[in-house]
Amino acid sequence: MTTIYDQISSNKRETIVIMFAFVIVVTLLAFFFGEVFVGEGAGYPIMIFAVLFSSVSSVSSYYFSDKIALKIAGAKKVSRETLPSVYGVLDNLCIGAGLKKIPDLYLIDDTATNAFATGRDPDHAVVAVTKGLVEKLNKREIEAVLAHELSHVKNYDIRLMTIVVVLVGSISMMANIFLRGGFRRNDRGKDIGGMIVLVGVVLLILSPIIAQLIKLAVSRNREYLADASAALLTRDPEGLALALEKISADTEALEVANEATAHMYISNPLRKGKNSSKFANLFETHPPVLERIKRLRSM
Amino acid sequence: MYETIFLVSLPILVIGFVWVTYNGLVTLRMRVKEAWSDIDVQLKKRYDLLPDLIETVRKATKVDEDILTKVTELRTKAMEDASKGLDPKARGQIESQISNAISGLRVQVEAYPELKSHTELNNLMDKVTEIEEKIAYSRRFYNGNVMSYNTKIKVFPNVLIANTLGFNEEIFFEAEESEKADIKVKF
Repeated sequence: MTTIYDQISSNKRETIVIMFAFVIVVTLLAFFFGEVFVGEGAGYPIMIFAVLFSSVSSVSSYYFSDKIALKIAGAKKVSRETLPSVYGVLDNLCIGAGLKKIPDLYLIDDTATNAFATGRDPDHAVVAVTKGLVEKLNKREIEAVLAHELSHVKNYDIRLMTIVVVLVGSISMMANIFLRGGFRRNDRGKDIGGMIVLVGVVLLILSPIIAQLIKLAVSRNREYLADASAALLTRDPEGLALALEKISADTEALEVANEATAHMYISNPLRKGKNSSKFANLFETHPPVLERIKRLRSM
Repeated sequence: MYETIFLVSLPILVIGFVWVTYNGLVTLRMRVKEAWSDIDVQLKKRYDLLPDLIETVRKATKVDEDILTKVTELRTKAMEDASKGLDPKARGQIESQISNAISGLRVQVEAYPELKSHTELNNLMDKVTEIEEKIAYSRRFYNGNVMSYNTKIKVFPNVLIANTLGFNEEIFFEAEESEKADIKVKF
């Protein structure tokens, strides 16, 4: 059985693994890029540059990824005066969870119902909710959602999930750029066709790794555990079940969410057939809501 | 040779074990005390609010004077207990009596429809509700800490150290059933 304490240490460990994996993947990618597109022998200097670049970005993402994630979501900090009721609920939950510092509350200006938490540790945590969530959910349901998010804060899920956003996001971005660069070269060059195949193979190998990293970070148990801790905190599993029902019944997609950030939200913000891609469907980041509700009701 | 290694390492291991366990227990006990002082803060806030509430109710309408006196008396008694530093069990009893008295008062006040628009009274009632929610949450945190501490001192081999060095069981801060029900209904 996984306890919260196991979860905290495994989250801290996985964060470090992901940061190293990022450096290795970027380095390899840079090496192949140099050898194939710049010329034989160019791989090594580029690789050294890549090691430096990826190490710096890995370490800085540890400190700044929360701000990037909030920026991507277009979340703005709200004052206590603007949303006194939500802050009040947050205060209570922090007392119950024993969190000494009350996380800042951020608002996403979107009518979809969703929420996420970010930050590198409980002292630097942020909880972001959509305007739709505040408007459509009642106090009991908001309390349940915030309790779920605070469980992610307390378990150090936020550190891992947020770093994944930035690192995995930048790997897919780089892969995209290299792929396009390769095609452009292909128009001019003649005998690098075989090399393109090579890069294609590398990218093929990379994609499952990227996907694996995401899955690692968003393993379904993490959501179940956060649901269970939230129920323990509020003593009201039914409240969270009702909130999840309401959130999943709302078919509106959250426009600011994308594949890189989807796993952070309490419920998958990408709705099928709208702004979701094959990639997102293939590696479902959230356990089925019905199963979560069922588990909450059986508590 | 081996005997020497054994004889030297054994006391080191034992001392190391006692050291680590002792520090762990002290930390847990500190957390319990800290959580208790969190409850204390919320309870004090409620004591501060009650005279205002009683005065406002008295000015606004003619409710049963008995219940007002009862709240006042309970408050005085609870504050005495607090300054005497009574244990959580004794404090819990009187505090849940206060909670019950307040919800009784609330019912009485709600019987007067003209008070619905009384801003001052409504504000005070909201504040009381808010503080009671905070009391409930800090109680959960406190009881959770007591639970992990009490378990820790009872399992083997910690129990040997806990007994020898005088780590005693901490007491839960309990709410009576009626109060629990109240919290549930309020949502």
